[in-house]
Amino acid sequence: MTNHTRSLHHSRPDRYQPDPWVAAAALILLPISVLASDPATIINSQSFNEAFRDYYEALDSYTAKDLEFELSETIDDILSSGSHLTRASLDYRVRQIERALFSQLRKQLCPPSSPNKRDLSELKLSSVQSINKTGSSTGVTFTHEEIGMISGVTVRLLQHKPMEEFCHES
Amino acid sequence: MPRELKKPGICMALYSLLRRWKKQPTGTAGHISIIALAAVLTCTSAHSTEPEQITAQEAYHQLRSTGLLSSVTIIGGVDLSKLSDASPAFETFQINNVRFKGPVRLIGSGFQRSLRIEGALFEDTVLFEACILPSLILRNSVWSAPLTVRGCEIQGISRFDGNRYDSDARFHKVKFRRRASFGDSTFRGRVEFLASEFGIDDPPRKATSFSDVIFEGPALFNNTIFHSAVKFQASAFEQDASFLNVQMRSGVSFRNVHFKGDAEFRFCNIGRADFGNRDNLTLFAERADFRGCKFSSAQFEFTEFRGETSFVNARFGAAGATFSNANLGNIFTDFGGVHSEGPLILSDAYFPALQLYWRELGSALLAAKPDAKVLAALHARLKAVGDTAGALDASYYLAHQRFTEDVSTKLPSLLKDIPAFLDAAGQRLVHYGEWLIWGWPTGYGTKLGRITLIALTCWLISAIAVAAGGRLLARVTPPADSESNPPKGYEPLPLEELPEGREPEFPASWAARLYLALGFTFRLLFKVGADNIRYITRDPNIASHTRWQTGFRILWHFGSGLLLLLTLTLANSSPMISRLIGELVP
Repeated sequence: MTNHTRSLHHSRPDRYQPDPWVAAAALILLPISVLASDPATIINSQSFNEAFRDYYEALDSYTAKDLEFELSETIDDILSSGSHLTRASLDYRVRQIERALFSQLRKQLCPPSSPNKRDLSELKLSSVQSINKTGSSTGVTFTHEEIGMISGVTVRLLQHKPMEEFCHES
Repeated sequence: MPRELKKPGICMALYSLLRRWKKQPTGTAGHISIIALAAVLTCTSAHSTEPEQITAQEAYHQLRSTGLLSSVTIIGGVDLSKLSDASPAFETFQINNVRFKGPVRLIGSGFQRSLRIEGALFEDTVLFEACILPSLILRNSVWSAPLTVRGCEIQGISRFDGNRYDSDARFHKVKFRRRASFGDSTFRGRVEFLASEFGIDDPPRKATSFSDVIFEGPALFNNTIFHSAVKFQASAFEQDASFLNVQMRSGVSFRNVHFKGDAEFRFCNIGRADFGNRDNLTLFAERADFRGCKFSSAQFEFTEFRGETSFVNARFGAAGATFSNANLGNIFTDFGGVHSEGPLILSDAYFPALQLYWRELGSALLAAKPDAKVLAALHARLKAVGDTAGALDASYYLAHQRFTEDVSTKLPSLLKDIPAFLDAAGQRLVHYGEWLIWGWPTGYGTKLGRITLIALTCWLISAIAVAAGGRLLARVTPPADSESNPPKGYEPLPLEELPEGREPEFPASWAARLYLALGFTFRLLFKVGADNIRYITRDPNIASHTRWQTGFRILWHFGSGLLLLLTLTLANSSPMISRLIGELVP
């Protein structure tokens, strides 16, 4: 199938292309945004918890392979709503976010001093921190609900994968 | 055995990879070439070994003992329900790179295991009926004969991605309780998802995926319910697509979709409908039929409707609908009976033949704050469809919008270009004057009710003021017709100059005074009515009398102006009078 997309008005703001005014406002409101994206605040928010529960509980019987697919689809769902990304750039962004997320998770979970972080609350906190950092590094602002969605899948995936295997994957 | 079918699993995996990689930005062309080369070498290698051929009984035995079957060709029909008695230790049967030469079937709910089939080639029919499966993964496979899934329930993950269906695929009354994915697939025959349900237990945003799917034959989704979101992004419908009575309760994304045949969405019920945006243009090459559809919100930005387009009796919710930059250029584009609780945006849309009625859509269109360009196009369309009242109303909003846009433009710099500044300033004064005299009181000749109400209000206020002014008015015998140069209605009659037999009759009560004032001011304003009520002055030199005299004169002339505005507005807004004037003044 040919890609029949067109770009006619590039001047319009896109959710994932930060507007200079928004960037300026973000700098002014930096202390507030830092507070708002504090992992503890996110974990205590209702929207995060509802989304986390919905996603985490539904994936009980999934294999690690299926969970990886579920993670890609979840990120795809999030990026699809609202933004104007074309299919090709959407696929690219999904993979970019996945790579950044796993990289952050390995930094969080794989130091030799703490090789066996398997406790749910710790995994949840690590995943939220990683998703937050991933959002910052990839220029995506996730809502608390969206962090809950990704976190629910990520925590399930981390529970299914042997830690050694996870830490040694590149 | 044809070479291309020797390693169906690997071939399909590479085929799927290729489909994904071809969507990568430029610069990955090198990777694509390598993968393509690998695919060609692998799939056509003359040195490929023939997979082992086994019977169905041997396949059952292997699955019962290991739960796994890999890289074999099964001769004869396979009935998966015969594995119902297998050890419960195997919750999942995994079948990789297997060629099924005979029919495959699974009938009944006895087989309650997860099934994971990847890289398979089904050369004969496949039938799943009345089955209950914890999860079903049938991916990266090829179906050469019809696939039928009927009355089954899949409780967990369902993956049908990366498949190629060379024949018909039917999913009738299937319940997918969790996310199902059909992405990156090609349906070469007819595909039917009839009366099925998707995402029953899923949260609203977890989307069933039909992204990157090519439907080469007719695609039917009639009476299907999507409980959570669904994505058709970058899919292509080469023939007719039918979504009759479909329910997409959470929302659907049809971004960057080609409907090359008719697209029928009659009586659909969709939450948030996304039919494209500036970067994801969706095309309806033939008929787009949304009659009787309900949308919570709908986005048709930049959507190309090239065939007949009908939204007759469609309903849009509080979030409204946007058709901004859409091409509704077909001569049969009908918005009759459309109702929208929210704004209906048509900015920069092309709709030269749109059928619409202002009574139905006016408030929704105005809620979108259209610019003069949109209003002018709407006005032209309303006139063309014969909605005279609607066209009149639209002409008011158009004139008002033009005034607003004119007065909001920045004046040229006085220091840089004096003539241009003076021209623009003078023009602006004209605009304000026109608005004050013609725009505001008459709605640019369209609001007969408004100017009538203004006239009546002026009459009542002036009557009350006159009545409160004291004993100014009295009934007197009108002057004889033969009297030369009789005083005008607003001119006072000095008491001492009245001839005998014309004694004034002053009102006895306040009510009578008000009654006289009503009659007197009515005549002053509208030039009709009894002329025996006059302003009587006892002493013309008293200052208050002079003021009343001036006031009545102003009222007389003001009334003339009101009458003129009333007449012009009546002529403009009454079709009958307009026609009459047109006949009288060719």
